[in-house]
Amino acid sequence: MNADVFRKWLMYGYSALLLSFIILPLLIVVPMSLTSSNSLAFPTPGYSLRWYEELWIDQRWPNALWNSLVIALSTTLLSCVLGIPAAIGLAWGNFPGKKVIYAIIAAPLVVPVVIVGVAAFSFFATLGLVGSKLSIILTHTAMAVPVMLTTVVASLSTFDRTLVRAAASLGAGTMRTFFKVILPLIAPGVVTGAIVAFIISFDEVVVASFLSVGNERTLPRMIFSGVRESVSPAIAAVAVLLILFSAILLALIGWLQVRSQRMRMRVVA
Amino acid sequence: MKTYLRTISAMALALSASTLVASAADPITVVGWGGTWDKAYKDGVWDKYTEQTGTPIIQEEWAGEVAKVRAQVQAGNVTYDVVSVEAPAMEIGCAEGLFLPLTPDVTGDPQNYLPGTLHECGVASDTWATIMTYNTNVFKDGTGPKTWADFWDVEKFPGKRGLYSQAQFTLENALMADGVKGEDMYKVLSTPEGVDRAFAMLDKLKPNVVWWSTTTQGIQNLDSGEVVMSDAFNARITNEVVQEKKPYTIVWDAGFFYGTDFWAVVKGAPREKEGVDLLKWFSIPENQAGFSKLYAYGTGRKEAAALIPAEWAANLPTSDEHIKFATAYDNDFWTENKEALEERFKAWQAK
Amino acid sequence: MVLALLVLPVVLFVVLIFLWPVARFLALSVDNSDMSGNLPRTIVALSQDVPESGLPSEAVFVALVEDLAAAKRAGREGVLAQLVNQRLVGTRFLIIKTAKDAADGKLDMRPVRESLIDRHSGWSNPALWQELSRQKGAFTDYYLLNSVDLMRGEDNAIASVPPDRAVFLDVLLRTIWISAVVTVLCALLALPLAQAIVSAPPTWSRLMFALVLFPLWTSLLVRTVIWIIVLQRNGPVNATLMGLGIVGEPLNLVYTRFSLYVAMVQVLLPMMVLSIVAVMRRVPATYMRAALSLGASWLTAWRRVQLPLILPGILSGGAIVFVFSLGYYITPTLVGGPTDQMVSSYIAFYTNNTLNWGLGAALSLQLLLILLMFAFLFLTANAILKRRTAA
Repeated sequence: MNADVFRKWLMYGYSALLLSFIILPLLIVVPMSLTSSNSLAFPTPGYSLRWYEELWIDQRWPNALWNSLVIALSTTLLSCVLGIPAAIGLAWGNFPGKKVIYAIIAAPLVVPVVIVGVAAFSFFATLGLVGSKLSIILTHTAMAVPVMLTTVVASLSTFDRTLVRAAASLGAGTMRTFFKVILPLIAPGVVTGAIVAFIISFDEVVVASFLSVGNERTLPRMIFSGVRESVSPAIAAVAVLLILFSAILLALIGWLQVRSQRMRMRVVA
Repeated sequence: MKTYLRTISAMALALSASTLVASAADPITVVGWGGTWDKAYKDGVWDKYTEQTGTPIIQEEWAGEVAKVRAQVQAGNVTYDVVSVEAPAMEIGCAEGLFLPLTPDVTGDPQNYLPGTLHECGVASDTWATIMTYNTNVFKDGTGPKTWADFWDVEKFPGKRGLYSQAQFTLENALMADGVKGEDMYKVLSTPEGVDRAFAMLDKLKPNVVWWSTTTQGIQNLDSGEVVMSDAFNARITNEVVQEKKPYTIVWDAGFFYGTDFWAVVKGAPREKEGVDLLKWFSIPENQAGFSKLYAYGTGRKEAAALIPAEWAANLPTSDEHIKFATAYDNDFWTENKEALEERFKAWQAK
Repeated sequence: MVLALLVLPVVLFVVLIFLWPVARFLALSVDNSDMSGNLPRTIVALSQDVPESGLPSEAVFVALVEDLAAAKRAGREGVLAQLVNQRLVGTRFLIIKTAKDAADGKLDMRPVRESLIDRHSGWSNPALWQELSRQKGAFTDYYLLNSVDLMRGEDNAIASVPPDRAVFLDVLLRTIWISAVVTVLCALLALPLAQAIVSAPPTWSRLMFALVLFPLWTSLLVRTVIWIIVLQRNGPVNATLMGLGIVGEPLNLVYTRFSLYVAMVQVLLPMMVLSIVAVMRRVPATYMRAALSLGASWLTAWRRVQLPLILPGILSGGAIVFVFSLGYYITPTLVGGPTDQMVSSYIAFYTNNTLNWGLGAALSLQLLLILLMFAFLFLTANAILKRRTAA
């Protein structure tokens, strides 16, 4: 039995070590970003908020944040518009070639992002769209739509289709059925998919580097060129803000999951 | 009805006025070399322009790839208005018609320019030099490297060296270390044997090299003590020494190479006309001197040089004190060989 | 059928916005139209030509001047000059200047051959003419060969490029090697952690799972940047090592293969843990207990009972990690040194820096093929594994 206890502690000890390897770097930049000095060093010589102020004062950062938000929200919206109907079609439909369709839609997940970036650049250049947000939104949507589709298909798999027939027999039109019956029930899947789509776009740097210029730069693009120049405390401050942002989104998803579980329990009861 | 009409016309007026205002304040996209170079241009030149004319300037950075401009021009999707290009790229771009030719009423009298700083399609944005520098805390009181051969001598001067991660500049430095004189440089480098010789020299130093690809990286490597000496662009070192009191010295007499970059207006740019206006304004000596005052690089107009305080002017690569150790980069050579040598250099680095 | 129509927009969208641009870009790897399309007359003339004293005859020179004048008027001479210069260094200005003269009508004096060579002596170089006579069709294998360190030598035979330019096979092997090391490291590190997550009490299990997931929600770029900050010379790791007296001088940790592995493992580990945990949860704990009660030692029981059952999880996790690694760009670019760059970095270098799109496309094609090959291998392995567990 002693060996069992020992093994158990060994396993937890190891897990704690590995988890700190995963998490600790994300935490250690927080004090480092609060440095009062001109360069990043550890231990931090003195604390101040000056680098966060710097981000606010240098208008390129808020501007880039704005660009990123506009692009990510548009991407999310477009992914929903394209992805939700397609998910319904794929989950409920019975037609040949489904495998091919899945393969086509999943392709953006597999192709290395540099290739996507270069290809998108040369494609949109011939359309005269390089440097516009539209080109980035369209490419990001292609990258986000497979994920959107998967989460919605998953939430549809537990969906009871008699509800649709019931709604139709009560005289509800297609649109009404969709918005009043289907959407509320698959909402958790849609919201999760939407958040992931948002993150994919918001964090994406390679396509944005190829397609954004001047005032249209996105936040990751600013970080990327900033890092190549030098890893300054301002970069660390942006990193911390982005980590914080992710933490909020993750908490949101966790809350949604708990809620949808409760909802399902209520339906069963 | 009357009030309705009045409201409509007032709104239309406001709308057209706002579009007019917007177009006057549409920014010009100016593409420079990034980092402190861009900052010096912003603080010393562009902010003044915006103040005087109300036209904002957006700064972009690039690595001077003229083919990028060509791709934009051919696709009819030009996003750059004014770019700073190296002299070889200037030659290609101007010959291909990618840049607008500038008339003397834009640039001013050609007589007033230093040699090599005025081009059919551009005016000098900066005359820079790639020099050797070392940390005086490591090598005290004149015990530092004096020649490029010393730079290559790891036994006499132990420690890692910083080198710019590209073929141009690095090959020249390697051959200088191998005893090639400035005036013979391109005779040697034009032969396959000469190129091999340069790479053979680099082979010797490779284990002791820390590569940098932006000036800030190069400086950070010096700051952290990771390298004890490095090649560098002269102005950046001068800035660090003068403003930040850092312990670096420039070894001018080891020999150095200098070149000129040009401002050019991209043909078919969205703000083409305004770009020309900007360069016209820039061609006024007082305006371009704003850059040299902040950054120890030269500009084109002779009168501009006179506006720089003598003490600061002594830091420029073109000062009387320094120019005697200088060789100009051979633009024709690098125009033809840039891509092939950069690709070979990249392959060599990866091994 | 109505349901099929719902799927149509997204399929069209992906084909138009994604597959078509990618295919178009990959096609550049064999495209020669910028060369052959700008020299149509010259190529025809060259193919019918009988050389005089090592150089083509008058007819070819006449055709060349016409072609270059047309190229200049169309604004295409710069591309042409770049392409010719790629194959034969030192010809860029020759093309640009000749094209300018040709368009200005300065080369109309007969015989064109002599007056052209007189004006631009570069045209007396037989190697240049040999290169031009190779540009026959709208397609070329130049870039594809180049991407595997091969070229067309004398008499058009395929030969190795000179050793100082041979780099792509090395880079390809390096890419596969780095991906393999990262995959194995991830698998080894993830297994005990996954076991701990599955066997821990629910609250702890959920907490551990959330901690593993968290990095997946932060951007790859941010996580990569953080490793630069943590591993730099005056960063926390070096400060700790020096504080503990383990090293006297800060180590160069960042911009090395080591930092690349560390960053890539941290970024990709969650994927591996996820897919192993997913499979482990389906394996009933009773199997292990049964094996233990039959007297097997814990390790034997784990190896003989648990491991085979979770192998599909390791395999699918490995497939994801490996295939993702192959295409990595941001992380090697930022935390690797010059000898740690992977294929993607070279694709970016050739398309961004030297604007050699043909080679960039050929390397992309190579990367995609390797990626598909490994994906296929993993799928086959998975299928075999399934059949065996079923049997």
